Amino acid sequence: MLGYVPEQHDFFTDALAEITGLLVSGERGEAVLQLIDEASMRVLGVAAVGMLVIDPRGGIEVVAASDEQARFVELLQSQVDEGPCRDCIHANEVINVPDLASARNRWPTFAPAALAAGFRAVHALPLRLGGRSVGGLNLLHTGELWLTELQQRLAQTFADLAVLGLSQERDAARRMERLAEETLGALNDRAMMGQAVGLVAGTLDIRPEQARMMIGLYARRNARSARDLAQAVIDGRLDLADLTVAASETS
Amino acid sequence: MTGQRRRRLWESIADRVVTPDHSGWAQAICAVSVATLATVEASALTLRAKPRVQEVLASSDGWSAKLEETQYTLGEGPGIQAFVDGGPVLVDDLAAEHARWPVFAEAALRLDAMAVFAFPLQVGAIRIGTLNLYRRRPGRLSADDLADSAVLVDLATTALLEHFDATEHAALDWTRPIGSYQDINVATGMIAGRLRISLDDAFARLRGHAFADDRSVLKVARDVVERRIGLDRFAEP
Repeated sequence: MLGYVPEQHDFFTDALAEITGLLVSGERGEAVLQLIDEASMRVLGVAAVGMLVIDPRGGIEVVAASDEQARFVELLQSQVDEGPCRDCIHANEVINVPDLASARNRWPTFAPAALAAGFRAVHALPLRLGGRSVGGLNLLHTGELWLTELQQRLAQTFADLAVLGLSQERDAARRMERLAEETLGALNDRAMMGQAVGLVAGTLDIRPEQARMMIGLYARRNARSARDLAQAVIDGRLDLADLTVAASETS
Repeated sequence: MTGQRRRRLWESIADRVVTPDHSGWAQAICAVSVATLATVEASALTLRAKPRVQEVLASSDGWSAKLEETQYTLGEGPGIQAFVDGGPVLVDDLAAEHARWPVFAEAALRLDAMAVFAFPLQVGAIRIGTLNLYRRRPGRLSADDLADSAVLVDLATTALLEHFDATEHAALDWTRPIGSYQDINVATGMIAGRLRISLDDAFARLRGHAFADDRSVLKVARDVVERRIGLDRFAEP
């Protein structure tokens, strides 16, 4: 059971205002998804959030995750092609798994791995565009998860906003096209992040996982989007010493 | 669903390759894009180094070659924009979007081009070129054609990054989208960071190393990421 979340409505209004502001200002893709991740966690009180979208080239790709554990769980679903979010996308319906321990038969690879990563429950909602499922939003929780009807409606609102964030286009007929453009762009952003991670690892002589962690930490601390930061690393606009400082302050 | 589309397109490309080099593959990709995409009449694959440096590697006909040259000469157009912005530029009615590239639109409309769909060939910050698709009537790329185009772009990028000949085309891992080649990106960054060279140069060295050892770029990249190959091995170009 989810703990009592104080002032849930206030959180929701704030989050909604922030997300809408970003959308109206023409902000695209990742910044919006990041905010939706954070808002879902704050408003719904879940431990982590991840988002998958259908790659127009085929397959399913991770576009957002609130932390590394969540990213792992999302990647797992995209790679073993198994799990609640994968099923939710294919069936175009909400899949609620309050306790993964009782779902080992349904997802023999996914369930044990997600449990081992510290997650007990998953609530997966489809991202819908024109009635078609184009991706899924995953709410991950460390305890059992039972969402109230209101919470489920709020979650669906976040999912709808995520679709808007991926496809900033008022003309409904062009949205699918715009979404394909955005998705391909977001996927290339990931390649760029890989290159930035490598640059940091090679320059500072550390392991790529460490470099990825440092970049993530710095991005959160300075409220910068990961894409923006990756670009800054690649362009040489970011002093890598700042990354080291941020990391050492935390440890 | 991934595999089937990819496999179908890959096989029809492999069937059309006449000379097993980059230009041969590019030619085959252009031919397949015209034969497969119902809403496309012509296509061209162009390598670019900077917006003003380009080499038309292949074109499906003289018309698309002419349109590519026009963008190059004028220094503007959907292809150049796709390359600079790093995202697809889909223009289903050039006349309606005249203001975006006034000079190019004018010239293209005189050549009877009404729709242009431009896709960048890229891996992260490394930009290689563009695949441009053209048609004489206005209209959107269908959802199915859009998905096929995205796969073709991916295959074109893979073909230009890896080296292989027609006899070993099966060795190309066509089941994996280029986006999943994350180890190549990390390895490229590691080499660039260590040797203080650009990502483009770092990637060229990674690829050179793989070619010299007759191994796939992906395998060499994994060795770099897992430190089985030291970064200083790439110091000599």
